[in-house]
Amino acid sequence: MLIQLKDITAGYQNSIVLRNVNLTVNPGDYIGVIGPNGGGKTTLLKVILGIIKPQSGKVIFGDKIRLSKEKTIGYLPQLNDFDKRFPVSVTDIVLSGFLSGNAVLHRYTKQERERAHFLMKKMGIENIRKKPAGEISGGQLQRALLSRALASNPEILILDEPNTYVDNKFEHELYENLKAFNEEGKAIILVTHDVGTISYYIKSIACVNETLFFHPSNIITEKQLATYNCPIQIITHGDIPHTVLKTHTQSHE
Amino acid sequence: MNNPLEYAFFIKALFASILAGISSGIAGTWIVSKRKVFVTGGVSHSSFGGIGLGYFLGISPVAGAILFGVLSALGIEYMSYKTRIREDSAIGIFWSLGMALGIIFIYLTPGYAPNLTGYLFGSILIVSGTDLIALAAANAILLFFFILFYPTLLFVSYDPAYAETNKLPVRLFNYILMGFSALILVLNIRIAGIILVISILTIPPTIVNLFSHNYLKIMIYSTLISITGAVTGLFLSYFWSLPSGATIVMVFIVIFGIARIIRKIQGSG
Repeated sequence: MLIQLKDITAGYQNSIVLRNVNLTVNPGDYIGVIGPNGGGKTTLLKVILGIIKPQSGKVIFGDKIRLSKEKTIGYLPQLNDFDKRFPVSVTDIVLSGFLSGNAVLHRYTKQERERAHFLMKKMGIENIRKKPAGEISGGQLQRALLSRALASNPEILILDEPNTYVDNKFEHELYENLKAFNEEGKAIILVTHDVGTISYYIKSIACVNETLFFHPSNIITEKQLATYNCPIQIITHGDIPHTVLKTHTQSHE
Repeated sequence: MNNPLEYAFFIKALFASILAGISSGIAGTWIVSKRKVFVTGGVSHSSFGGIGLGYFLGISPVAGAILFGVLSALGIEYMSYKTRIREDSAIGIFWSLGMALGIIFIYLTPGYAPNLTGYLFGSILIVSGTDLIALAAANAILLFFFILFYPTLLFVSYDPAYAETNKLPVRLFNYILMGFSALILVLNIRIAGIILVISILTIPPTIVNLFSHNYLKIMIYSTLISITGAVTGLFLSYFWSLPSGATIVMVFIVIFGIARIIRKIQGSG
């Protein structure tokens, strides 16, 4: 077990966003998190990342996960959280993936620089490594941020809507990269927006709409979704059998 | 006209220009990169309250200005973190609060109203030795802080949200940087005045930022441009008998204009 959420209730000041949420993340998991906007997807990520404390319930971390010492959780935030005009280069961005917690005095080591270079090469952004964030495309920035998330070789990778500003070609490459990462036994939690594409690589689905419904397979039917009260449209694609679903009208209550 | 270098006050003013240049390289680069220019506008105006308090209590107006300036910088940061008040609204509140208090304190101070022009518009020629030592020390401390924490500092500044998920002390760093930037800003008020001081700190990094997006390069080159501009402005103000602070600012504006034209000719402005 890497992370276990037990009866989590969480939210902001006067509103509860998540209620009695249970979720276990194991090595090799590939969980797609879906749900309507405002349903609590991002709040769920923030609880897992320890940015917000749950009002009740427990987050239990496995032995491999240390929040403050080393970066054992990689995180790819939404692109719009980021000030693209700040004078910082692609290399600076990737290297900052090595910084965490008590390492405020850290100086990048030779190994870290080599790993950053290796990741940039793998992502195809080696040739723009000196360019500032403000002068590269959304897809290139996305690759830089993914390299940053992978820099410390985390046990879990959490991605918040990675397909937002990205073209189809990069989206395909992204999923191939994630697959390779997953095959090393690492866990992936992937949030996608409400009308999105869920890769067929995903092994299980968590539908978040105040509560969390876990579905241990990547094939989910409209009927099942209706039972889960998850008003969402999913389009799975790929070579394996897939299901295309429409938004259903059943009310949340 | 006499050679200005024969005067002790002019030599002091030269040192002040150099220290102002270093300020814009260290504090100014951060202020511009972090889009804190109007926070510093609010900070410098609110420090007027401290100047008034200094006169009222009969203590050093500069000490009062430092107190007001640093506290309002931290206050603006705190308000935008902890309350629903947005940053620009918080700036407006501290800006006018400081000015209002300054006016009331000076009104209440018995005797002749002090000459405030030096604080409002700057008077580099009457900068004291203590002012210079304080400014040099503040710059040295902030520079040391940058050298010590450079990678972390860059990280918490360019992507605070992500740095927070990595458990880095983002807010602490922000408070320290904002506090020291405010201190350096207030110490530059002697040179350019409350109204013009933000240009000394922010125009040089903005000029360099037209050509470079490398944080270190912006720090180094804006220091050089700022020293050049401030020293040029100082000499021009002496030979043309113009107010020093305003002349220095005009030199920066001219350099900025030239830089814009060069950038246009280069093809991407």
